[in-house]
Amino acid sequence: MSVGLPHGAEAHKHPEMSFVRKYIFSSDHKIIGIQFLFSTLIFLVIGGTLAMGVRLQLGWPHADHSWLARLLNWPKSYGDHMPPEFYNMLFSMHATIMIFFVIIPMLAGAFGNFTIPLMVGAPDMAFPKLNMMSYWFMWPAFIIILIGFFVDGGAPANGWTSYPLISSLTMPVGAGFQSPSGAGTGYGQICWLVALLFVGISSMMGSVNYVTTIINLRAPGMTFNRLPLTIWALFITAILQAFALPVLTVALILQLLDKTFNTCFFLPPGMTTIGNYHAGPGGGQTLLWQHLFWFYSHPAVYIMILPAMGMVSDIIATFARKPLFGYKPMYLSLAGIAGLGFIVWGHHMFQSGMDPRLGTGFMIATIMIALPSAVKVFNWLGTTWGANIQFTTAMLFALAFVSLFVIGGLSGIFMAATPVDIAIHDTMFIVAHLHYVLFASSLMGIFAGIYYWFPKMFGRLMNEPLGKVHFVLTFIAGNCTFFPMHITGAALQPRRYSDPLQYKWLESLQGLNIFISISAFVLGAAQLIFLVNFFYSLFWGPKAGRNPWRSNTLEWTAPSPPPHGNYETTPIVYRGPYEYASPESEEDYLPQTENLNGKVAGTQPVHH
Amino acid sequence: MAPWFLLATLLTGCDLDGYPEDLRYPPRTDVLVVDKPKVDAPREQGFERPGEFPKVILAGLPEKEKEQLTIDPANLKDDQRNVLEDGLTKRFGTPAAPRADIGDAALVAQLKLDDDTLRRGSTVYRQQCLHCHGLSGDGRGATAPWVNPHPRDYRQGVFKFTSSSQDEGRRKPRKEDLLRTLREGIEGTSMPSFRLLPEDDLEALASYVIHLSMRGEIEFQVIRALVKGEESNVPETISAYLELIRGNWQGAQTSLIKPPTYPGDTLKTEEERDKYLRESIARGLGLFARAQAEGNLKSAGCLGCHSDFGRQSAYKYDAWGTIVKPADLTTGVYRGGRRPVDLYWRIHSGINGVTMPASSSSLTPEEVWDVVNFLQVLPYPKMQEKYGIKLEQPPK
Amino acid sequence: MQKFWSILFGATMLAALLLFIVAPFVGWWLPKNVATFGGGIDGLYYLILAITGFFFVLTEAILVIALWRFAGQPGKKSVYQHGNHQLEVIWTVVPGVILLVLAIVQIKVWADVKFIKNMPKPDGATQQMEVLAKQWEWRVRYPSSARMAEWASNPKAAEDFGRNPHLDDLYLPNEIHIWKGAADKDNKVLVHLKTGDVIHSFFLPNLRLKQDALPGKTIPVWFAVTEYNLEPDPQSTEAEPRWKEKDIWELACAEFCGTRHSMMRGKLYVHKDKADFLKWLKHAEAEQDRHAPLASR
Repeated sequence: MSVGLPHGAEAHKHPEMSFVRKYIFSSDHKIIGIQFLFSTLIFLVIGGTLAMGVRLQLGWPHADHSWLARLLNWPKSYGDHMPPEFYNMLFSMHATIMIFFVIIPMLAGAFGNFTIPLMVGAPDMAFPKLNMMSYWFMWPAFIIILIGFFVDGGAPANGWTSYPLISSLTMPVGAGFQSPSGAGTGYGQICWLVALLFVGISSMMGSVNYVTTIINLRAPGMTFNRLPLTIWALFITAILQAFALPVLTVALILQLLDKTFNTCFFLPPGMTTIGNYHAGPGGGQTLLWQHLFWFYSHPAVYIMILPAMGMVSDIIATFARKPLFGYKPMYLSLAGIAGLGFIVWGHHMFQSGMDPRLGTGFMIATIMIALPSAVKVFNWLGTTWGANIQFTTAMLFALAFVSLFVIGGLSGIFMAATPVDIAIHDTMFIVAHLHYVLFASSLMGIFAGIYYWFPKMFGRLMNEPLGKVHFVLTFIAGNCTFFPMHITGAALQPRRYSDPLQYKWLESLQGLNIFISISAFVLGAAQLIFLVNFFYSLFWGPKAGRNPWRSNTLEWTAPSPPPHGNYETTPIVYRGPYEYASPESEEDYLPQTENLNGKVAGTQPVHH
Repeated sequence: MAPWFLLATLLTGCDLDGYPEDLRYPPRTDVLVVDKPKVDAPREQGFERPGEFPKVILAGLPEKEKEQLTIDPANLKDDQRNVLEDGLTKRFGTPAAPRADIGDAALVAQLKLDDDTLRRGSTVYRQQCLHCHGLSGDGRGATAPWVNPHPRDYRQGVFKFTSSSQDEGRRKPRKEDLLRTLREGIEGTSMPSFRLLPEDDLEALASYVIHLSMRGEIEFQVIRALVKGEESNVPETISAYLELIRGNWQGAQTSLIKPPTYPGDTLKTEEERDKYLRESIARGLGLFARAQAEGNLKSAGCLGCHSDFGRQSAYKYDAWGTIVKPADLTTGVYRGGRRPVDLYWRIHSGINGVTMPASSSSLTPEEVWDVVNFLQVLPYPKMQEKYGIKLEQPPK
Repeated sequence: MQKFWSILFGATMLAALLLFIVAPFVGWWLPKNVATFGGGIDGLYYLILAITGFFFVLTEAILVIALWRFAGQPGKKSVYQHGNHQLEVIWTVVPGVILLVLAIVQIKVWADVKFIKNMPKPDGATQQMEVLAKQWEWRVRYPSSARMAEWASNPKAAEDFGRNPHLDDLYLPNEIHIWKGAADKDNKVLVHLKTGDVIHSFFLPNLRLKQDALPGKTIPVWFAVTEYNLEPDPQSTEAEPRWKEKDIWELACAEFCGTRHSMMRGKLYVHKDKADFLKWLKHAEAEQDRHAPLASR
């Protein structure tokens, strides 16, 4: 269904908007997407810095950190050691920020917003004002999560999973909101809960918009079977978010009530005192949190990879100059991953004290979810076979996605196997797996997307040689950082340990840990190259034309950057997005809107 | 592997364990608690809220009362403070190179306060103890505000669980007491057991704790004397208190409380032992629960503080200005150790720094054993049935 | 220059593969397994390693070859191909079958370790202990030697150990003592796992054993060992028996529990037989029941 109504384009012009309405409180999906992009890039730097702190401690657990004590103005009593509380805060906030403030808003918020109307041929999202609200609802989240660093007790330090009881205990009524279970579990934890509530609300607003836009606002001729995989992926992701987020919202509210109103949703009966403080009458169940949390957070990991998979499919097809191999299996496998993703949450809880018979059920579903992922990998390989590959930076990151997603996906199978999970649960093996799928896959997919759509967003090209340097360093240092974690994990080094040297069995691994830490520092430094490239190119990059990559999808027919309303005339779609090397065209690409019969494509003006 | 280690050591300095050479013990800035309040801590206050300590000492007391009970080192004159710091550094060194220049070589040998042992102790302390007990043993490490009870502040020179028979006020722990605490931990608190560390490390740790305590106590007493105006010559004051304090430590090592033979051990048959226990537990209950002496039946007055056998004890201030509660004796968790001899020591000499008084002047050793026997069965309802005692307020 | 990328990808993946091959030989590998069910777990690990290793090599090799062979040339056009139905079927069905088989062969291994119906019953023959996980140590309660003697003659008396602590049970921090026992007789150990505050996890790497301790619940955990690690120390005397460790097997906490989560270290001590265990137990009980300070101290 299109929005083009037959009346003249000159018939309505917007009054000239102020800078604030145009660029700050904008309802234009492109501006909102770019706002998400900038905000999440800032949090990428924050989250990455926290990771450097984590690796500093893990590499040299007993080293002299006086410089850190001076920098953060710690009391002299702390000595020169990194306090375990501080380390716990570092890894907890690193994960929280990367998941909720970088990957999810980057993929769903930045790319979702920017690409969806453009790629389906719509002038904007179905609900532009709701879209604006979805970005601005992130701001309370941004502020509150950062406030957490400065409250009494510091930022939350219970892992990004915030399991009760350590995170849900609170003082009795009238005695304040600190927690008897440790630093970073009082006011900081409350900040965490509230911030994530806002992130959830923002995401749910976005989901509504994306699904509606994709269903209702496709340009004429843009059937579902002609949608680029980026859109398929974002569509399915939006549905995932819409169904999973309410459960997280409930969990967050229950824990917030436990912490502020002394309810006992997660406090079992019989624990009248904990740590010599009065705990409360109880009546709840600790495991309830884990079920609610993981019911959302497992689909969340698919939310964090599906859009990247979609983007990578489009980027690989574009730069392989070859149609995507297996279009239908590709979107069916996206749906399969998403659907199966709802019934595997218990695989995070195999050892949790949940009935082990449930474990068997979750195990089977989890092992099967490897199948659609494998199908996707084979189809990407099939796309590159017989191709004519252009090694642009975007393509390199997309290929790295495929290569490293293989590792991430295969390592997941170890944990899916419940007996093996008994040994490797909560070890560095899972840390390796999660970083391969989140960093080496999602984040590399994000880099691919940024390098690819930067010209469309900003009308300028990023510097290719610098991009390639960024790629080589990130690829090598990333693998050097995270691959050895499979080994330390196989040796059963537990995760979230501030001092692994306490244990005899872990002493021989310290060399590997040091190697990982040094590689991590190189990896962090390499991202500066990207940031320099990004911000320099924003202002001084060479100007880009409409279609620098000679790609087929709709957005490359609009100006770079597209004006408000995107298309001068409503596009009409004649074919799918992957007609590269088509015999019907002399070029090695054939855009979706190109009318081969000589007529001008699209004659209706676009209604704003 | 070797090249990576080389790179690593180059990056972070050669000594990866042990304190940095240039680190000094910080001068004391937190207030000294010189007297215990006469009143209990208000019930509404409860224990210090997490995060209140050490910003708030004597939580729940009005400011005026706090000022009367504390001394602020900020009132030291600058030159006095500097001379004090120099004196302490001269005698006790730095965290990386601790020493105990206390003028008594025999005591140094006896307590193993030689440089090598202290250095080893300081290295282990840094890895295991620093984050709770703080750099100078002040109990104000990063973890301290968030655990209850708070980690021990050694600088008062007071340790709760001792087996030495010195007078209250002069009593120091025997080294074996410190080693016992390290091996068993303090159950019911965040002080864990360190029994898995090698024996030499435990010895060194205990030595280092004694070193921190001596240093801290001298600092404490000198600051107190200077601020109150009782003394003015800093080096002489240091020497005077050093002599006093080391004398106390020495006295402790040779003054073990040796309980007389446990009556049950001399009985040969099962029936005799059973009968002895039955009667002893009944006597113990009486001593514990009786509010005051009735005729020739003594009262140990325990129920006065351990209200309802400890389940409803009031909150009290201790010598460090923090809040404690007389133990809940129905749980079977004893901070000072669960062995009968541990319980004997607690009842005999009280617990230093808190309001648990000594009974040595009022109860005979056999009577103390009676109370110990009673305490042992208190957490086990089935055992109370077996020994035929009925409590007025039976534990739930 | 275009071929460089193939080399980069290939070299990196080769380095990763080499790391996995070299690691077992330099001691960066699974710790020694001494659990009876550990063999099943390790076997499954190696099976998955083989399968994933195969697919890793296969897919990365295809990618590296593709990047080399099909590196772009000006003027060239790719093959115009949208897919291949037969290939799709093959690479859906074959992995699907492999995964399904993998899922089925492992069900028993999991059930053997975790299902309550497969755990040893608390009868007289089963070794029992209660482990209370706390912030930040393990408080272990063993049955007293008197209680164990009662179990020998009256097996039913062993049923209440988990919920009925006795005064003379042995209470010890951070040490798990068991004896090796004979298969089908007394080698099975039943642990009643509890926590006194937050969630902890009872993790013995050498037993491939892990179980979270949940507040408000007592969770049964079982294992049996294939070796012992305690030998009598030459300086051992009747009054002060001592042992030395042939091998060090450790206990760690595997669920984040706060500040000292990484310092909740325990040890697993396996005595050669029940007699040796009882020797230790009686000595520990004597120490716990002490009415007088040690003569030497």
